[in-house]
Amino acid sequence: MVKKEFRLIRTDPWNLVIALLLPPGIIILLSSMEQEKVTFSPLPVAIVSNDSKTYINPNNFTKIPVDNYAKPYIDAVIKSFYLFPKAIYNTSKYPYAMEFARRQLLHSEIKCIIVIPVDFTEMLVNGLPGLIECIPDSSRITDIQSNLNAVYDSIRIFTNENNLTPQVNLIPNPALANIIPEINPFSIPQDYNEGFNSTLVIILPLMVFGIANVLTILIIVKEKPIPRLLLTPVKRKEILFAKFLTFSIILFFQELGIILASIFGGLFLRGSIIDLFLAIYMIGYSGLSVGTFISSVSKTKTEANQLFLASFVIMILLSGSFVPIESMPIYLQAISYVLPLSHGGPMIQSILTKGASIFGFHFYMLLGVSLILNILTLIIFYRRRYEV
Amino acid sequence: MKLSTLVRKELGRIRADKRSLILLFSIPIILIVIFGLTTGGSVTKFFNASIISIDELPTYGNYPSNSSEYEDDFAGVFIKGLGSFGFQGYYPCPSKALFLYAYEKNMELLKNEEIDVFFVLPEDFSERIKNQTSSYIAYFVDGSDSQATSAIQVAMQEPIALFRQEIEMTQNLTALIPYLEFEVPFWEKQTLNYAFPLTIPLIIIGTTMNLACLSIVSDEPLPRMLITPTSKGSIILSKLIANALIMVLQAGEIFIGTALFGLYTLGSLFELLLVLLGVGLSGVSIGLFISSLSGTEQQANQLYMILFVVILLFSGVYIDPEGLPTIMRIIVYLFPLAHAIPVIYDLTLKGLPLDLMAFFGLLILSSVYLILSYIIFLFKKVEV
Repeated sequence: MVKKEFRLIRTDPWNLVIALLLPPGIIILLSSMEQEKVTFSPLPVAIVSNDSKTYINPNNFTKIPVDNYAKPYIDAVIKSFYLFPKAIYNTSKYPYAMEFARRQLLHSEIKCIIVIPVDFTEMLVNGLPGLIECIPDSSRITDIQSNLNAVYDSIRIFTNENNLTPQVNLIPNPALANIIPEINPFSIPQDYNEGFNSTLVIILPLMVFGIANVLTILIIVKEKPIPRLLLTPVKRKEILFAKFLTFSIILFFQELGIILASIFGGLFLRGSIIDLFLAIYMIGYSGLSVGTFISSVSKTKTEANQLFLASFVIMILLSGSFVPIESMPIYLQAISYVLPLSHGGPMIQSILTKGASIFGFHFYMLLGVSLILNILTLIIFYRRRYEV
Repeated sequence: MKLSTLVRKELGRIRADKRSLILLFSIPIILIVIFGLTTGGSVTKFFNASIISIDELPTYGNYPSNSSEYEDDFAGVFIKGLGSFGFQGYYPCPSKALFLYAYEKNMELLKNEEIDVFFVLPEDFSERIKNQTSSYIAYFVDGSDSQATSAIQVAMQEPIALFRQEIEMTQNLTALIPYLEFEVPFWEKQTLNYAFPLTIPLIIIGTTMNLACLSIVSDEPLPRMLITPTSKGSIILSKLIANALIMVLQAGEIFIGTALFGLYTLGSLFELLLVLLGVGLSGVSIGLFISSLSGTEQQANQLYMILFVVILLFSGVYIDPEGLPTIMRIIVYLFPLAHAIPVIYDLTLKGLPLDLMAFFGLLILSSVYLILSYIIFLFKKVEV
């Protein structure tokens, strides 16, 4: 039966070529793009200084020249590795400075406006908090945090260089109390490409699951010899088992190609390669299980294609890649945790960066969902009516 | 055969497949409802944190006496509640053995993702504050989460500022006050609107590609039609028109559905609809390209899946095309979302007018895929 399945697959060799060669090819392309891309460019900003050089005493209206901190702060912005001051405006000279800066922000010439308030120096001189206002371009939600981080670097330089003490400083991962050594928990070493790792965590489950799913959605519904086979002593469970075995073998070679391409492409792996292989294989197997289930419940090829599209889109949307699962209403969270794609990313991530074992919640959920689908497929296939 | 007749025939074929049509129109609505109902989340990173203090351990530096008077004040700031932190536990450790236990426990919590970060207040934390010298707090953040690693210093400004205010140590405190510009206001559906520029084009392209990718390869009467005087060009054109008509209806439905569920857009709605139609048109063209290239339905499905992943990968969300060398940038711009997503961001959140370069880029891309489909279909051998 397995030989028959392989012969059937050999009748459409391109199908196999697409399944086995294109995924590693995409990974290699992604890897070369990640290696070639510019890893860092400083954030273009405009500084608008409202901090005047004169302090007018409200009690006697006398003018005192004060300019202790506005210029040192601008110097700190210039020194920051993360910032590129594209324009520096003094509102004493350019009353419409804020308008210019906002226009630059609108047209993406800058990513952030840094405003030094009118009382910045006075506040610091009088022992009160000096506040820097920061107006980041927030149209891309993913960029907001990194823009704030970059601006914060200028404040760090400013306080350090101007001896503004006492401060409460933050030190990452130091050795402590002569007990614990200096460590950097779960971080990706600098000689590896962090972007490649993080993109692969999102793309791998989608690709592996999707291809395995699409490879199997037609295996029962389109196979014409099944009714004739049922006239022979071959049992239904043997037919189904042969299909599972055949596609599991194809899946094995597909995942092997993907793993080799990923490692060759510079993937950082803290855990065991066998765990990673098993994780990817498990995701593929869940795709295979969903695909075979769709094929068994569908009466026509069109119906199988429709069910595939509907299930795939819903699985992607509820996978947590676009909206965090924790932000969804509780009933959507429950649905989400049953769907296989929600488990692929976290499982691969924990093996890659934390060296975790595959045998955790996500693996057992995938295994459970796949086995339930396998049993349902078997039941439906047994009840399916065939006519020669 | 007249083109209009061919289009009617094609529409009839699509209409016959009622379930596909229902799915085509129901999937975007399901998506909009899901995102519309989804609330919460934050524009900046939220941390689950715990605190270990070894401030009670004796210090032998330049201090008059051992002190731990500020450790509870610092922990108290977290216990009272913060915008960027959830509090998971406080471990005051009067001995090294207890510290070792607390440290290992928190490392385990970090590994199991129950916390994102833990802080350690050192032995001389309170002594340094009393001495009016700079003190420090050690932190151990989950390094596998690059967002957390980069965001922690900024996020800590809130508790540090509150702590300094609590103990009246405000001198020389310099803080960052962010005012977000071009963001989705908090009273609008933030999840739906921030997800809109990526997910809606992705859904349009996914469904239209799927509809069109089987239109040639699974069209059984096609070989018989080629015996008639109908040209291959008319067949491709009729398929394009029929699929595009369905796509126009779908884009319109998405547009109205999103508007009803709280679409937030500063720019022109008409221009936004134009971009969505451009995305749909490129989806139909890519679908026809796949269909003409494939020998069997399974091949078409496989190619659809691969191209869908590639389109998502090169959408500009994961890899910024501007940071790539020219040849690789060209590869990224061969796929429609790299053109569409920035335009949708500019239209919806910045209220900028339609970027005609990007819009025509979409149309040119659609034409290229369509011409390729025609050429491949021209050389494709079909037998009755």
